[in-house]
Amino acid sequence: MILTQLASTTESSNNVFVALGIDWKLLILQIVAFLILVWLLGKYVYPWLMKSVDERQDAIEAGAKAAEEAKLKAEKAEKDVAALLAEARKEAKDIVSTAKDEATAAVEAAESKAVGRAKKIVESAHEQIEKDVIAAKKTLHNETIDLVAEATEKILGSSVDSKIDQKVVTQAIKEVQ
Amino acid sequence: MALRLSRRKIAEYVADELLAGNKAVTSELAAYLIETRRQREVELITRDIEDALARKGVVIADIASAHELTDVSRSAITSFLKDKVDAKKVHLRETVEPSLLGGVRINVSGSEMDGTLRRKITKLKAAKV
Repeated sequence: MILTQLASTTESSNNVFVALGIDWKLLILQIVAFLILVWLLGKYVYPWLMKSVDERQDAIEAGAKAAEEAKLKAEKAEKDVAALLAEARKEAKDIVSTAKDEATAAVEAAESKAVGRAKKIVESAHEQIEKDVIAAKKTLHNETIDLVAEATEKILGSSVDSKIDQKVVTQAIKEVQ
Repeated sequence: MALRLSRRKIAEYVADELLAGNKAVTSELAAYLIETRRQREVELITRDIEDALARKGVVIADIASAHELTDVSRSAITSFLKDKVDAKKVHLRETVEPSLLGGVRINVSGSEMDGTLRRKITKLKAAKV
């Protein structure tokens, strides 16, 4: 029965294959060829392919690692740059502050010097004025004396006669006595 | 050649002779000085004679004034000099110098008393600074 069924099945299968247009011999041959192909691929192509894939993966992992390292380096560099910038800003601030202090000190020194110099100039001017006034007074005094002497001389030269001279002589002798 | 005498002896002799009224002694003195070639000492001997006369009470004063002195002025000066130098007799040798302007300048035995107006003006000018 079973054999009958099998036979019938086989027969029916054959009939199916036939119906489907499949040649089971060719199918077996194709299966064998496929298996050979699979074996060849597994023996020669797959290892090479896997090796290539592994290498590729290693390269990618190395690249990722390098990228990570680069990222870390970049972050570190960024931090360093930030620190350097902060330090530079601090230094710049210090420099500016120092420059301001120095400028203020220089301005104050210049002001002090200018004030001192102005004071000296004023004092010198006062001294010069006083000297000029004294010199002018002396000149006036001397010129007055010259004028008085000259005028007295002229007046006496024309006004003193023997009579007046006698009084002058008498007076002079009294003064000497 | 005449004996060379000292100026002091000559002065004393001439002064004594003059006081005795011998005016010819001046001529003798001139002759003596010429003979002894001491003409250059005339000024000095004259001064010595005046000093000798002064010691004997006769003062010779050089009086310079701007105008001719009046008798009143002469009298005042003489009186003043008699008191001042204790002289018995004062002889005034007068000169007129108009530049003195007024007053009198008296020179006696090397000392000078200047009471002229010129002197006062000079003092005024000396007050210049």
